[in-house]
Amino acid sequence: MGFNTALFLQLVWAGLTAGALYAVVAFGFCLVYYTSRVLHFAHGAVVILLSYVIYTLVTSGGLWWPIAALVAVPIGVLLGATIELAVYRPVRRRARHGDLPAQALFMASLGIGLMIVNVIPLVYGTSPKFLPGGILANAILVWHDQVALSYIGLVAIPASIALIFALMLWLRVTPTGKTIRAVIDNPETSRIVGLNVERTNLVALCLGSALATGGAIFLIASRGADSQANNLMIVIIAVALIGGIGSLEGVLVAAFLVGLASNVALLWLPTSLGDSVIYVFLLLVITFRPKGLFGHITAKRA
Amino acid sequence: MLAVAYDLIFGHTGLFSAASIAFYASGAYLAAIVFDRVTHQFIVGAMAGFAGAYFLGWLVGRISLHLMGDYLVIATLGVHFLIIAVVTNWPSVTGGTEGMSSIPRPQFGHVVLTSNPEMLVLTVCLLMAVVVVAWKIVGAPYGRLLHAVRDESTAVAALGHDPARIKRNIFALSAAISGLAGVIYATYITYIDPSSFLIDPLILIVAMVIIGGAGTIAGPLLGSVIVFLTPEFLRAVKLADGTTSSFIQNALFGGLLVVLVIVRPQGLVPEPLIERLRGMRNQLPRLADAVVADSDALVTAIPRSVETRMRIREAGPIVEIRNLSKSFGGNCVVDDVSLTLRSGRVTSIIGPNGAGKTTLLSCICGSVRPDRGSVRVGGDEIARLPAHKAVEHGVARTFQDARLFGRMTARENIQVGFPRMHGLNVLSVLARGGAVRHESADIERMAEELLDWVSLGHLGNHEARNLSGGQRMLTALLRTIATGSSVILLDEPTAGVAPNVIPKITQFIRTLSDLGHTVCLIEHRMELVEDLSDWVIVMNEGKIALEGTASEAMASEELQRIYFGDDVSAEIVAK
Repeated sequence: MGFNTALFLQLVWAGLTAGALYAVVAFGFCLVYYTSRVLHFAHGAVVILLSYVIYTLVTSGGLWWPIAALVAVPIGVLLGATIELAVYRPVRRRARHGDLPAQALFMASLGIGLMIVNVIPLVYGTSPKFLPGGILANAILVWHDQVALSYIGLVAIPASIALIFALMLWLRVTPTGKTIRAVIDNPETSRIVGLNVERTNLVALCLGSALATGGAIFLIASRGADSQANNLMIVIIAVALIGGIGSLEGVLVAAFLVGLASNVALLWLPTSLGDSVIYVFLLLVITFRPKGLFGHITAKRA
Repeated sequence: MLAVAYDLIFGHTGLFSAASIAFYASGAYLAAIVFDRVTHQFIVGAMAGFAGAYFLGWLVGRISLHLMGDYLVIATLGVHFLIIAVVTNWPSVTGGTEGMSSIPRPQFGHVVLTSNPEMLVLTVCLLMAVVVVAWKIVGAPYGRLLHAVRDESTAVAALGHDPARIKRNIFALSAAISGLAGVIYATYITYIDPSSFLIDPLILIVAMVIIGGAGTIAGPLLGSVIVFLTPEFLRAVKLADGTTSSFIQNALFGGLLVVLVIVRPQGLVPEPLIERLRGMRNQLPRLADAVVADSDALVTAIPRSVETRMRIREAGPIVEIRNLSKSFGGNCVVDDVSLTLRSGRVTSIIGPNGAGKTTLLSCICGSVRPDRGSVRVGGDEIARLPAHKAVEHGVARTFQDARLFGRMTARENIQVGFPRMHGLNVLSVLARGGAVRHESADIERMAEELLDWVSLGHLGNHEARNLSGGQRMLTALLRTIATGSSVILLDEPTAGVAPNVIPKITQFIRTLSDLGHTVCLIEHRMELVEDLSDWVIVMNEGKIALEGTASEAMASEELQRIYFGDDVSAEIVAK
């Protein structure tokens, strides 16, 4: 049998590409999760919605795909702002009166996600949508012409790393970025020191949703815009937890780790079990190391 | 059925789990496998589904219920996907992605229910059975305990009940009911495959519970009616056809869920109805009543029955604490502390903030596990036992912030304190209903008597969260002594209490020690300490700085130096 290097490399490439997608989406998710402490389950739905938006802009609007992506960014930001202002903020306000059931914010976020994911097929039908033709679908062949490095991967992998590093730099250097980091660390103290935590939550959600556009582009290019793909969110949550709560660098590492693990595992497992590796990993991390790889905010225990 | 099962863990116990569908699927598959390989008899398959799901639920509970909030959701979500993945990839047993078909309709002996109306009858019967079980559980003291775990699980442990075990049991039961629902689904559709069990219906279940009203019995039923009749209604009115109707249904309920969380999280069941069902009053106690009653500062004479229960017959146990130490991180908070608590005596622990008093108390009663040292009560070593086990040995504590179960009435709070009730065992509740009701009535009476003793009898039906600081503390004290423990540890029993209630509390504590209890309290109010204490222990920086009788301690220079620092105490001495 021997070790099939070509297959291994192919899977590594697939893993890195997937990792790039997860990294961008998870980073946006974590921004929201760490600042406003809400499991923003609707994030996945936002990404999917944006991928449909891009699809529409390209097919009906005739825009070149990078332009479509740029146009989609403010749409994403608007979406995020709406969610924060129309839903999360009022729910948080109610939470202070103390009569909400457990996990009310998460339920609201589930509701939003459910709404979005079910309205899309009413408009677009249920089959996944892909970008027409396009160079993104091609690949270059290496390794004795046995391994195909897809163009999408060639773009996505460095782009995602660059994007995240740029964001982390921004967080470290700019005043808004520092405010966000302060709120991530301790919202109570931030409030006392005079930082506007409410506005920071809004900024985080908008930023996260803007990042969702990046995710949307990778998504539509690699898997197509598919409202029936319902396990993106759990993978993102797994990435966030494995990376570690509170650590944005950890998210980057975890995203690629998860992408690689679930793809390289296909050397030994059948295709449909690939994602199971992620779930097992997630459960292991939650049980034995809730801090994740790099995190520094521990899980609360009953 | 799924909604009722979910409400048991969500509405009543406060656990947000995402695993319901997984248990539903497990029940369905287990039954299908049994029908395929063993027998077509419905009862066998149903029991397999029910028991299998119960076991699975217990297992999942064991590994994930200690997680709070977000983590529990995530873990259970992971469980869901994992179980579906297992099912999908085990073709030899579960048929993999093809699923299992030709599942027989329910068969009892030689009778097969083939038509849909017959299935409906069966389903409704089973649903009724489930509802009755849920109703009984929630109405019994067990239901109260679930609510208590939801509201303040640390207080539950301090009263002698193990919150972890309670959560596991109700979770397993909920899983079993979900499994049963799965069995019905399998026999109704006669075909199951992994795509029947996506995660999306979970949101519908949550929506059903919220829309109807969490924490009630009627709520999930109402919610499920609304959720499931709506698409039929839409179809009837020709607003939607077959394929799009499920999307519309989901989108609609997603939206409704969001709106309800913002606007009316209690759901649609109207509140006055709930309250009347629970015999509860939700207004704030009338101010006039409060003033009149609380100004009666002296405790009325102890009712006979209370005294009989509370009096310790022989000299109670002596609590010996030796070399107790506890550090948090690098911080040594309790440093090699040894002391003895004797029965019939009030021992006060005083000292500046951060001296380690509360941690010491927590170590003694088991809320916190000491690193080193021993705590012996009447010869039994309890240092390493968790809080609820300590209560079994007769050691109970109160909290600085009372920690009452806010949504329960004052009387119900006290009722939770009584130990070893039959009503706390699910099987008893179902099988010995009469005995449980009888016992419940007795305990209710005793709780009333306790409240009357401290002149709070009129507040019995008021929700705990509406009580004043003093009323809360008194209720919490009553709740703790209801456990029957002979060693009572009080953590700042006058914190947050208005001055006019303090004499009442003081007299209460004095009465406890007169009845033979071993009382130890942490206090900051020096007049109270002087008044009450038979023995005073001063702590500073984790160690015992000095101890003695109240007068000795108060007069000592060392005490002044600890509290006020060197310079100031020198001035005081000079004066």
